[in-house]
Amino acid sequence: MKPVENGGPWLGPLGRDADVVVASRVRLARNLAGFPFTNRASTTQRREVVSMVRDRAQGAAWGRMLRWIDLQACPAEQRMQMVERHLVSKQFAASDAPRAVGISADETLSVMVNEEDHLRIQAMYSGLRIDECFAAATAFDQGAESALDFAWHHRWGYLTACPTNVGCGIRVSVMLHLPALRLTSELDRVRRAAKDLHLALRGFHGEGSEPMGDFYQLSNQITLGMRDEEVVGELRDRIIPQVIRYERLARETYRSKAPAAARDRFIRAAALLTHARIMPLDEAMKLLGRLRLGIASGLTEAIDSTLVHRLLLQVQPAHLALVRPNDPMETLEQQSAARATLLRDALAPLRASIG
Amino acid sequence: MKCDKCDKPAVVHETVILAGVHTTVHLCAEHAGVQMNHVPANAPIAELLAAHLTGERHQPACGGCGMTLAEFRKHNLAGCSACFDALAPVIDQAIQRAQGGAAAHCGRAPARRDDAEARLAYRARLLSDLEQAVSAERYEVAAQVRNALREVDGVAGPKA
Repeated sequence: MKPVENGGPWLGPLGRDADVVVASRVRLARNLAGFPFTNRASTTQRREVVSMVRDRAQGAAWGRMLRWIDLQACPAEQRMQMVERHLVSKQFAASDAPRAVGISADETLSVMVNEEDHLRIQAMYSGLRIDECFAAATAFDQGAESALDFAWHHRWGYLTACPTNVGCGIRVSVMLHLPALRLTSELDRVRRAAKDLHLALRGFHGEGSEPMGDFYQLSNQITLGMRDEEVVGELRDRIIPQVIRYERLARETYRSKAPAAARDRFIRAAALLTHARIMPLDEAMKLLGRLRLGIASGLTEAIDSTLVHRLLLQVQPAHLALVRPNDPMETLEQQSAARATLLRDALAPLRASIG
Repeated sequence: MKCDKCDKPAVVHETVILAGVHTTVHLCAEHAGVQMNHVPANAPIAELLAAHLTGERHQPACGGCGMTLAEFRKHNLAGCSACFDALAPVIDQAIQRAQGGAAAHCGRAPARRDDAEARLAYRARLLSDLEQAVSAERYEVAAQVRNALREVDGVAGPKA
């Protein structure tokens, strides 16, 4: 994998709406005809699926850009790094069956083989770039379709193991930073509205109901009876702009009602991040989220959101070990100490600016 | 009270009135099961309902991968392409529930598809679906089915 300083689609240019949008992702689910789905396939069949997909991709223009990693032969730390970079899912990294992932050099395209479906084609870009994600995922999909026979049903379209993905098999997700909607208790309303529109709003980092750092992902839930372009267009033109507008309005309301409190939240987060000696993961995520809001609100020009995104990745255990290779990491406290050092070093320009 | 058939306590009491004559039987759980096809008291209600609703005791399995209805219900995952026909109509319902009532795919299809026989069978199924949707006054579904029909008729396959 590329060194973390320049690798990862999250760390690319931010573009428009960067105050609210972190990144975009499009995922297509496909299965090979003639094989049972992953959950019913034997070890031999799973191996066959891996080599069939990998061999055809390697020999063709549409798939040559992928570098393949055999997950069974891959050390645990590297698997964790891939999870933290959202190149593979947690379940995929944890399973012990034959499976592989193909990743493009810039890590914007990744293809998991033998996840819940035989192929999970995923394209990711920083900022609000759903169209680019869709184009990249579709280009690979159509290339693959010329060389592989995908499972297909005249009524249900592309077949997937889970009924939630049949049809066009597309999942469009936009990663959003929504701190003000949560602060003003408007998030539940957004969540209910999303549900009515058959969309899901989930925490992006970590699990459970309280997402770390107020980062969320909004995704379509319906994949049947709508063309994939319609799913993309609906989110791009209708849903996402509206959520961005709500979040901006909530930020404005919060700032105008409590300007001192808004500034104080930012200063406190900056002070802790630039001075603490022990920094647990959830606290780091929470404070980095507050820093990001401060940057978007013009409270500092000493650092930019790209640095915050990079740190959001580097504070996670596998990346922390990668960027602080000489620090002891045996205990959680040692990890938290290494994390605190990383943050103090990286945020030195911020420390100088807050006095 | 004891069971009419053995010494165990009776848990099922049934009175039958036939041509004005009342007959009451008292049975233990075991004999009630045998005698009256009575539901065992300790069976989980969901399983009972599922068996009742689908009307099957011996569940059919998919010829492609051996997936049974019970397994499908438990994990909500199909095991292979053949499940989508073998486990109908249960799998149809699961899909439509997950997909906000959508009735059929529309849009892109693999370019190499041109299976005339399957297309005709599909067309026949769509027609009967359309009829059902209209008679149930489910016009949104009917519109979707009609779109799917247009796609089947318009091009060589249901292609965009």
